Amino acid sequence: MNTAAQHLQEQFDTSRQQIKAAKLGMWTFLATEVVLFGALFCAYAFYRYVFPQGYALASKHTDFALGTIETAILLTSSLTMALAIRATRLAQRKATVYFLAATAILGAAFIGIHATEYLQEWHEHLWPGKHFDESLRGVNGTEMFFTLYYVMTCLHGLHVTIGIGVLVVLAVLSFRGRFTAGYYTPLELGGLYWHLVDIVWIFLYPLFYLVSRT
Amino acid sequence: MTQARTAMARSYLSDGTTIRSWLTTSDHKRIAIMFSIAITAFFFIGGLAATLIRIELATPQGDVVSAETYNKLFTLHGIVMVWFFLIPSIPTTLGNFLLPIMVGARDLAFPRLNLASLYIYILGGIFTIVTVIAGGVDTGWTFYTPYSTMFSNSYVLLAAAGVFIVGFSSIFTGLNFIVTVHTMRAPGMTWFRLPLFVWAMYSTSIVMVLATPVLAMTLALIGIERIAGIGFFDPALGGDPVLFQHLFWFYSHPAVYIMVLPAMGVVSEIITCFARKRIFGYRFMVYAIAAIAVIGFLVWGHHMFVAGESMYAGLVFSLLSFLVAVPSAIKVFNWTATLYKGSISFDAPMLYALGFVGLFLIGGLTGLFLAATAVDVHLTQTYFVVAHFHYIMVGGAVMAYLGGIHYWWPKITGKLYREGIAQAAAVLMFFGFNLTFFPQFLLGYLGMPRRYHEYADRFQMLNVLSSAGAVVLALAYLIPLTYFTWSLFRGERAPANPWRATGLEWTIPSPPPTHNFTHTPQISDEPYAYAPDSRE
Amino acid sequence: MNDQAANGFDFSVPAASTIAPPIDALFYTLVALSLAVTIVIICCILYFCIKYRRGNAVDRTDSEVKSLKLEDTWIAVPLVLFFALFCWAAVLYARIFTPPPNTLDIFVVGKQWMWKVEHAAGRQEIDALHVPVGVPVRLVMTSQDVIHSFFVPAFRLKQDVLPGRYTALWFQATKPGVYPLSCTEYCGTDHSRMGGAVVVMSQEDYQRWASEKPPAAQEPKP
Ligand code: HEA
Ligand code: HEA
Ligand code: CUA
Ligand SMILES: [Cu+2]
Repeated sequence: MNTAAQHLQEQFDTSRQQIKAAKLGMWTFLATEVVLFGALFCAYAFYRYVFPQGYALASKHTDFALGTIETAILLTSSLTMALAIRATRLAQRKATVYFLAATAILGAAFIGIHATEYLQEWHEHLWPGKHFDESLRGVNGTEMFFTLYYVMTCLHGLHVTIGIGVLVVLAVLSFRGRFTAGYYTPLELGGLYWHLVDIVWIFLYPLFYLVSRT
Repeated sequence: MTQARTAMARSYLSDGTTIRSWLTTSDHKRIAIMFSIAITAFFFIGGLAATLIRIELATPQGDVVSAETYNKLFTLHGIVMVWFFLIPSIPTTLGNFLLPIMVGARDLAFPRLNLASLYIYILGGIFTIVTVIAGGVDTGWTFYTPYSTMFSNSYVLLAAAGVFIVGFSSIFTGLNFIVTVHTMRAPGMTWFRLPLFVWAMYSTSIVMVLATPVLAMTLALIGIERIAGIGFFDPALGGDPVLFQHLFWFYSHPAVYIMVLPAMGVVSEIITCFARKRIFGYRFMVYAIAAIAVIGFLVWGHHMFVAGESMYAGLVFSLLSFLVAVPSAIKVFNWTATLYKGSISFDAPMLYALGFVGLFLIGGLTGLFLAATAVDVHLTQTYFVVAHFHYIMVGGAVMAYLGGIHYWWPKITGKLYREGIAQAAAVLMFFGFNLTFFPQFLLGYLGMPRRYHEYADRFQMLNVLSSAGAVVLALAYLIPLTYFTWSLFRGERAPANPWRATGLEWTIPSPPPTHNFTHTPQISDEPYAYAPDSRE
Repeated sequence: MNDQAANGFDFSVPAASTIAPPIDALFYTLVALSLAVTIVIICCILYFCIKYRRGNAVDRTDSEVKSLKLEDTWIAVPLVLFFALFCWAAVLYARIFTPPPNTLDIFVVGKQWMWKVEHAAGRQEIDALHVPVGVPVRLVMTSQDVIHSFFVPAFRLKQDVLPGRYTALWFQATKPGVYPLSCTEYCGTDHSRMGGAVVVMSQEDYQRWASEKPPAAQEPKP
């Protein structure tokens, strides 16, 4: 039998205390993530205010269809993540592993699609720097838009990649029976992280794909 | 489990004596000791740079070091003193050691994260030292763009990487403290029974956790701009250098409160103990700490009154800067009132604490000069600013740190130090400090800009005074190093509570056992249950 | 300038613009207020420390004062004072930001490590700025490389000079004379040498000077 009590570390008095600490720790960590992205969102807003035309023009060049598909994929992955936790609660080990694997695969699909998007943009001369499209360069702010687009989506992609790693570890641990209906804190924390990554994307999507498409 | 039981009785210092037992420990007390050694080393590196700066400035000509070297010296000095000494100083040493004990816990919530914080700090430190060995960095501690991204020929990336890395050490420590204070308090330890030191650590941690990621991001953007030539801040690339300043100060102003709040916590502990009084207005002190932490996030623009921000922005930031000074005023008044009808003794920790109050007062009041927009237009980027922040950071925070080290030394090491020489060092430090930095207020008003390798002849007299003071100050800093070393080897054994102080840390043996408490303490009173002997 | 200047004992700085005296007034008010506050607090601390030193037999009954009134007072008084100081400074700050109409405009360019000045009449100079007394002058400034800052202590004014945009600084000089000018935003190796002099001349002298051909690259350096 696997209970929370067996995982009690010596600095804690009770498992409840330990679980509470772990969750609060995770939430605090998520707060730092929000501020980290927040700095970039501020930079985005600042330059959007300075260069409204440049932003409007540049955002027409991002791939609306792919962006929308990516959004759908990530949203689905949040659902499968939630289902994985539900399955653990119901003591369905196999289902847990399947749902975790599905989440990881969706995450990987997201990364894959985004990579093709980057590649496509490379051919369209949308990467800032020497290769940047000459006609776009003429309008102030287009290059800044793409600079921010790459920095923010890459940072987000990095988070997704780390999240996939976490999911794989969690899936292996679930497979080995480390989690039970009575003890699944790591799973819950992993889930929180995954949802945050998802939420960040929900903000990125309109900022980069929808600016001038409304 | 049985192993743990036997370890309970043994002091944390004798529980394993191999180097490995130290380097792999998860005991918050041992981690605190290792942090304090690393931080002291960096203080002396920063101090060495300051010594060279003051030697160069003894004469108006740039005759001791070249202009490049001088610029690298004050950059190194600022980076090391801020990120590798003062920000981690009180939290990672006294905070690490005392916070769990003060809330009645056996350790921090995440002991291994705490150890990780130490190693990250050291990694960041290695980057900084490598920067110096490679040839140094010359941007000033503020890394202003576009100089740092496009024009400087020095090792900006290495230096920024060091600061970037050490930021994570701050974040991990802060996160650990927040969770510990929330979840690990002993039964009966309600929020309003927490010692003010714990409140200070808690607020500091929140600021660390919410401000540091912005610094990390900003430095990362500098890195990208410098490596890839993709613009964020360089106008030649469509960016705006003022945005960099906003992002930098959004972190760095809260960071100055990261440096001073812990000091305020230490001083509250010391003044109550040596005046044998409850703190005056405990709740106001708590609210003041919280208010400083919160409003501190809203004043960053006061560093940019002439930098090209709009007039209205300047006015808003000015008003908020005055507002953030009010809680500091409350604290100063409450400390003073705590002395009323106390039974005051003047042991070394108390001398440091009183020194803190006086010097913080002067540093804070001159902060008001700088918050007053029109006056700042004249004073900004002059030695007046340099004097302002050294009064708070060296006169205030470093004094408080040393006071705290003296106060808890018997608890931490189990040894006593020699009182007489400690008092003498404290007094010497106070005078040396004022001699070093007071003339700089005058220099600033007279118009001597900061970060100057050479200066006009008319400023020499005051600079000589300042350099002379720096010598006294350096000597005063070396004295504690000697008597503390002496105390470690030859000092008398300390009793559990040499100061007859209240507080959980004084109820356990000196030095404390590995798991701090043999059984979880019960708390039933407010902190600082001192009563002056009505007639003594 | 004067004899004292050379030997390092000069503890004064001239006030040579219209904005300088009011800024000084605020500055000295702040000094006076700070002194008063410091003295009061230090005196209280010293008094308590002496009277209530351990071993001194004095009355310590009722030492537990809890006074909301006291707390409220010392929150309210600084609040009011701070607000007053803020307003005073704000009025002056607004003045620094709003040039009068019909200023004499002069263009200033900062670059590592020199100031280049171009007058309306076309005359150029380096590391020096000639201006007429009693006339509002507006400097329109930009930088060719990094950020610099144009600082004239005698005018109590400074303004950062940024690449990629124009910033402005206006003043009206009140006394003819030569005043030091420095760069106060760190800008690299020779930051400390990036300076010069502001020469305030009578209006006629300025007219004459501005229309003169510069004597072959011989510009005044202080
Ligand atoms: C620990 C560090 C620390 C602390 C606590 C502070 C505290 C304050 N600082 Fe300081 N500051 C720095 C470190 C710090 N500062 C540094 C490092 C810089 C320069 C950075 C760089 O450019 O390199 C700087 C620069 C700086 C500037 C920008 C200057 C410039 O470059 O132009 C300003 C401007 O507003 C400012 C203001 C203030 C104010 C209003 C406070 C207030 O919080 C102070 C409040 C305290 C008091 C006011 C004293 C107690 C009050 C009373 C007893 C009230 C009674 C008084 C009356 C009724 C009058 N500071
Ligand atoms: C916590 C922060 C902290 C601390 C503790 C100090 C401590 C000191 N600082 Fe500094 N300082 C800063 C933070 C700090 N400083 C910052 C942020 C800047 C701005 C940087 C920038 O512009 O980018 C600055 C800038 C600065 C300048 C301005 C440089 C310039 O603008 O050109 C000066 C000049 O006097 C100075 C002096 C000193 C002195 C004399 C000390 C003394 O208190 C130090 C005393 C300590 C020692 C002297 C060490 C002990 C003894 C020895 C080392 C002896 C062994 C050595 C020998 C054998 C010689 N500091
Ligand atoms: Cu130009 Cu400093
Ligand atoms: Cu500030």
